[in-house]
Amino acid sequence: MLLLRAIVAAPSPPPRHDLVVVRAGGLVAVASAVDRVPRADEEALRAHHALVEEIHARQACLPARFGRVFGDAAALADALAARAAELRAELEAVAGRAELAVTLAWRSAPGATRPRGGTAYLAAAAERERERRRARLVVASLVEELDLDRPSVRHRTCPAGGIAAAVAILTGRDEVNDIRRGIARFAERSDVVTAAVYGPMAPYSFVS
Amino acid sequence: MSGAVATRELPLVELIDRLLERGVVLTGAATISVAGVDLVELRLNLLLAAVDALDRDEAG
Repeated sequence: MLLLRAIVAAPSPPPRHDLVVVRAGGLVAVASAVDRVPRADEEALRAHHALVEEIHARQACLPARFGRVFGDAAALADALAARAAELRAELEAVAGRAELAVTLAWRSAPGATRPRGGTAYLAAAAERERERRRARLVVASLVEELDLDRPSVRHRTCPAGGIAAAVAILTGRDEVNDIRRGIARFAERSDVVTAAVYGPMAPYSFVS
Repeated sequence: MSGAVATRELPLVELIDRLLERGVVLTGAATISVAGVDLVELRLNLLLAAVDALDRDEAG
């Protein structure tokens, strides 16, 4: 079986002895030969991420969602060819760019309480909606401050308790430090959120 | 006001979010194992073809 790691444009990436490359549709799938279906434990996820980052450091790549396994090279080639045009366009869109992950956490998060009774339930639902609106405003402020174009930003508001938004930013590799500094300034001035920045990394949030 | 933390190390929760929910997916891709349980995605057309083949075998 072949565990898909990433997709790159042809020509193939520098070979590594433990990697298999499969070509189809003007693209190269980089995969690992595996004996069994991979278990999604921390070690396997970190190994996948490290390998993807190694590829991403050398050339533009589409990082694969973990756990995509194909029976053999022919099956992988067929799947690659089936989406080749779309994947080439995605590769072009992310070339020379990297993803930064930004977690915006509320400075003061309301404690999670289980509402008792209908009125309390409705009040809690209304508060969650207000929180989502506040989070959308925070994200909009961040995007404006960083002067980002909308297609370069993906976000989810209130993905977990205490978190205003999880934001993914696609940026040029040479702009990463500027974006980091901009986020730091934003968080330092904000009285509602703090910010944690991870990356740069392969553009997981900007491929499909 | 402080509150910005920058790091390259991806915490496990971010890793899980990205690697299991995002990233490129090719049709026909198959299987993942979580906590020792294999979760198998079958392409519907393959499944239907298999059922159709069984029906034909039984009818024949």
